[in-house]
Amino acid sequence: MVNGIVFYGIPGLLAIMGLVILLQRENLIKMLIGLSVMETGVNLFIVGTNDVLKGTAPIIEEGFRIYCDPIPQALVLTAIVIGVATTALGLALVIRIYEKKGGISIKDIKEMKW
Amino acid sequence: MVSPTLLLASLLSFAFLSGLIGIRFKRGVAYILPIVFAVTLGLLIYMSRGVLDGGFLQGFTGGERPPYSINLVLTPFSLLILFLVHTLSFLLSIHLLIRGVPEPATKFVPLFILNILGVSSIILTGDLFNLFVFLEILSISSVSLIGFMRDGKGLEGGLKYLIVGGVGSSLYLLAVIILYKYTGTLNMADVGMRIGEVPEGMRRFVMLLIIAGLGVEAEIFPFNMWVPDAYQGADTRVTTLLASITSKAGMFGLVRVLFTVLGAGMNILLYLGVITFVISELMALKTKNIKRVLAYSSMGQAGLAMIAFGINTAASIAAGMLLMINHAVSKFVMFGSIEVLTDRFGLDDIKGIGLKSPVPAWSFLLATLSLLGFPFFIGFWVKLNLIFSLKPYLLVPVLLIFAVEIAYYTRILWTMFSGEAKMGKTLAGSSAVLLIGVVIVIALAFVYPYILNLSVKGTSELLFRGLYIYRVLGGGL
Amino acid sequence: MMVNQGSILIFTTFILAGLLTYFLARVSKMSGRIGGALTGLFSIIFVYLFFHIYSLPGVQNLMFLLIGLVYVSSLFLLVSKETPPIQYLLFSGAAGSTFAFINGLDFITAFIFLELSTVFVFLSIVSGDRKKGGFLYLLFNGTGGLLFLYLLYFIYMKTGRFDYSAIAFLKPDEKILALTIGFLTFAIKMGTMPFHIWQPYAYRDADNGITVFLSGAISKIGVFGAFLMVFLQGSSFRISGNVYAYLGVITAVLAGLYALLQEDAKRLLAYSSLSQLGYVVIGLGLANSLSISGAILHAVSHGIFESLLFLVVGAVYIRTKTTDLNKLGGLITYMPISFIALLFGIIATSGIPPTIGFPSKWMLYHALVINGDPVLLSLTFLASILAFLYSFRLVYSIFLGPYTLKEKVGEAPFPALAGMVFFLLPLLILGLFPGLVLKFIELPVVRFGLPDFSFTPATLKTPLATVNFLTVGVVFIAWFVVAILVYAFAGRSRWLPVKNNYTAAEAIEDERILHYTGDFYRFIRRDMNFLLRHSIQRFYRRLFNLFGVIGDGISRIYTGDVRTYVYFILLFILIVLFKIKGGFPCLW
Repeated sequence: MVNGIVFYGIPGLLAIMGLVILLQRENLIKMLIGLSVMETGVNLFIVGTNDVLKGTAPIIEEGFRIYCDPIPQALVLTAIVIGVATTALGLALVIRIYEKKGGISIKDIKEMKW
Repeated sequence: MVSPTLLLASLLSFAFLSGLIGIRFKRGVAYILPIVFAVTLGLLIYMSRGVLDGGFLQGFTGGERPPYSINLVLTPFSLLILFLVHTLSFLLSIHLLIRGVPEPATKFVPLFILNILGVSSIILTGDLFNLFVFLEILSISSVSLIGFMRDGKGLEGGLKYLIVGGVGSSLYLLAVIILYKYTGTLNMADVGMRIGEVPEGMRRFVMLLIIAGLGVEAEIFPFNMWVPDAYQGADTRVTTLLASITSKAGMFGLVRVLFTVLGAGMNILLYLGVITFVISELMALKTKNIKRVLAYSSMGQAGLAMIAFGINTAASIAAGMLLMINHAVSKFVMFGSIEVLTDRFGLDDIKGIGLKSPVPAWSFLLATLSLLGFPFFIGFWVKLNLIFSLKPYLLVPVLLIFAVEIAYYTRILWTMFSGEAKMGKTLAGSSAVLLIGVVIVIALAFVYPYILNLSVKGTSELLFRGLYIYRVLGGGL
Repeated sequence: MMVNQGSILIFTTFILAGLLTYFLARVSKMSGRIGGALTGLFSIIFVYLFFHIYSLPGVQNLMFLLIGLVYVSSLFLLVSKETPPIQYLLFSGAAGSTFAFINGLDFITAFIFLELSTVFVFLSIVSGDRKKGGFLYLLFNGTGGLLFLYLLYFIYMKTGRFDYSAIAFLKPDEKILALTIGFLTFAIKMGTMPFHIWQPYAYRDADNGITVFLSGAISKIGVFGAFLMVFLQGSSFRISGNVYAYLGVITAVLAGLYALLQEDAKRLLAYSSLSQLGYVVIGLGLANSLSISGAILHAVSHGIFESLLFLVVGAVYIRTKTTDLNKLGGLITYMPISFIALLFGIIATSGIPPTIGFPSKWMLYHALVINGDPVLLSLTFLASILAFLYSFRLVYSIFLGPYTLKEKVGEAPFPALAGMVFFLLPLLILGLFPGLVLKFIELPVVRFGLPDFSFTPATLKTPLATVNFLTVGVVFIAWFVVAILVYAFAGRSRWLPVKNNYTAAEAIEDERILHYTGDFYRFIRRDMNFLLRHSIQRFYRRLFNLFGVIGDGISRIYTGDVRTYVYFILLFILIVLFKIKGGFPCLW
């Protein structure tokens, strides 16, 4: 149960928090922060799937009996990098929008609809 | 035997190379585009020999067979779509050369190549996590391209796509990790084999996440809201790329994961397809901006393709593939013509532009006829195949929406070919490539039995998951 | 899905002929004209001889002959003027698909060539100067194609076959559904009343040669198809038949009424053509052997006289560059042969002997009288009266009255004249010997019960009366000659300048239309306003708007606010999650 809360509950909470930030804020930068937080939640979840307490690095030697799966860690590295790229691109767009429209509110990007 | 890896490697190296060349030759860098796609087309043709007979061509990393390595798989279905994508990219790059690439070209050219790289990788990859990575490459390059012209609308559309796409890819990542948790592997074929180890309810939840995640790229209903905004906001040259080429990747990814990995979710795909088709086409009837209308129409066609795949019979899947081909080529011509004809897109602004420059306008008209499914174009066979693979209860709504489609396209054509042109660019002799597109839709109608044959070969890997799994995991070759 | 090979070959022949002509016409105008005429004639002779079309059964053969006749004549009109090269190609395509449609006897072939004819006619109209008609044509006929697709699917699902005879395997109620759908498709193709919007515009905007073919031949696709639908049902059709008869009679009356109000000769003829096709629908709707024979005979006569009229108007256009009735007048001095052709055309339209219009209407009226529905009968009579009225307007405005154009014009070009003769001969000969046509229909109509009429080439015996068309024709011609003689020798008319008539020689402004028939039927527009106001066009516009309003309602989903877009993704997941049994517990 504790495992569940630590490895799935907290990332899940983080992801939902990020989502709430994304959905409830009007400031574009805050929305991007929300997106980023959500991605972090998912990333934590990836690491958390490896729910082995007291595990070590996967080395085939004597004494390394309980070890962690390395693949999720490799995956999460990639995911973090991608997340950074996405956030950077988003912020770049926000800067351009600010230059163009003089504001970074969600109202500034509601021109096209229907 | 040449590995499919070479295709991606050449695309990637050309993307870097074009960046380097761009430092020195700011103008000439655009000339690299046709060379790239000529090379990839050549590679594809070279690779297609075994695949045309129904075989698979695989590339591995690290010299091990999957599941112990990351693999790229060239199957008949992916060959068909890849060939379509690279042919259209080649045509589009020549078109862009004639018409002028968006400035600065030094940034546009690498982004273009990266976008095609994303598309090709999504189609080729045999690994779930790699699909996520390539999806992000695709969406980042697409967002950059949408916001390329730095006018307010492009930025707006780009940011919307970025946010919705970010949420979508997070959902997909979640699904992948859950699958990994239960099966201990990321290889599509391997996961497909072990899918029984995932509990029933979890499997459905994963399916849901995957539909939601990849649905963003595949333009099906509740996930496609960004599409009209992005298509309208982007530079029309970019929209041509997005609508005709990039959108095929999302559909392919969704179909591949659902059919091969999960082997479930066709019903949801069918329902979502119907909803998408109906809503998008009704929206298109109502909308007054021509780029937006074409965007809605693209979504409608995506929905129609999803209906075809969702019905999940050999005939309907083949019809779905044909539909993707028809839609890609026609939309290429249509957006291309719109780009040549005008730079304002209200229904009043396009009045009479067809009379001013006949070549692109007539290309638009003929491509529309193909999209609407009239004979002498491949669209007719597509429509016939599709209708005959439909389930009876779907027939009336689909035909009704077809009529709606005819109605709004007639209105657009009518507007284009009547009245006095208010304004418009007059650019003669620069739209020959569009005519090639028209020739393609006509020529495809004449080699239709061959195309159908190819699509039917492609259906077997989707209909029988075991075939794909067996071939990839060692039975093939 | 096997497409009829013969149909494909016919179509290919015509396309090749069209391509050849296209390239010849690109080389020089003269070579295009000569080449067009030769390749066209050659392809039709080739098709006739090579495919043994003369040995085809009944109505099919008749339609082939009729469409061949119209084809040759409209080809003549095409080559007698400056026709853009592409029109030759598109015309050939349209002609080829029409022939192929008639030739193929299964639904899939029919569907392919139905759609092909739509595409070619659409492209042909749109490549001209005025385009509105083309788009309306596409809109309506494209939708009609979808209806036919429904029929195709329906019959294939129920019987697993594509040939026409598959209908026989349907259950009775399924038959009626299939029939209704099929009939509606072909009603759109014919342009019957609720679906007629495209017709006046398309006929007006098409190239004159194409208009001849549109009216004479392409509408016969509709007639042939509708006949097939009725034929395949046999006598079981009669249950719903009267509905169609009423559809037809409404078309005949309203189209006749609209025809009175037109200011453009081609639009007038379009409505007249529509009105005449209404008779055909009446005949098909009554579905007994007499009425069906009458309908087919009337379809043939419609093909002949309507094409002739369009041909003459086309020839007039070649010389005067206008078809506006208010601008024309007095052309009889310069184009006497065309006048005579038009005169016979409208005589046939009105159903007067010795032309072919007489026997066909005769048969239809007898069928109506035997049927005994007084409303149907009297409305049909009304339509005939309207036909007199608009025919008068046509001939008077163009050829009689004062000459209104500035410069002199010549007689119609030779190929067009040849085309007129091409139509005049069957118009008169078949008018005297309608039995020649009836022979083709003799066998098929047995399906609707044993014929209660008998005929020889010149006579027809119905339960009501026996008539010898040859005698009637000769008597009419004799009276005609007598009338001319009286007019020539005892006439007391005097020629005056037109202004004297109106103004007692006072000066007036030039813009006034002094022609006698200028806005001739103004009073009808005034008095019938209550009827004409509720146009069906408005209904379609409202339908279009209705879908637009639905789209408008849906469009509120696309708010433009990116947060809403994310909400929808979450909403989808939540909604579907509730449908999953035991979904959430598995998370732990």
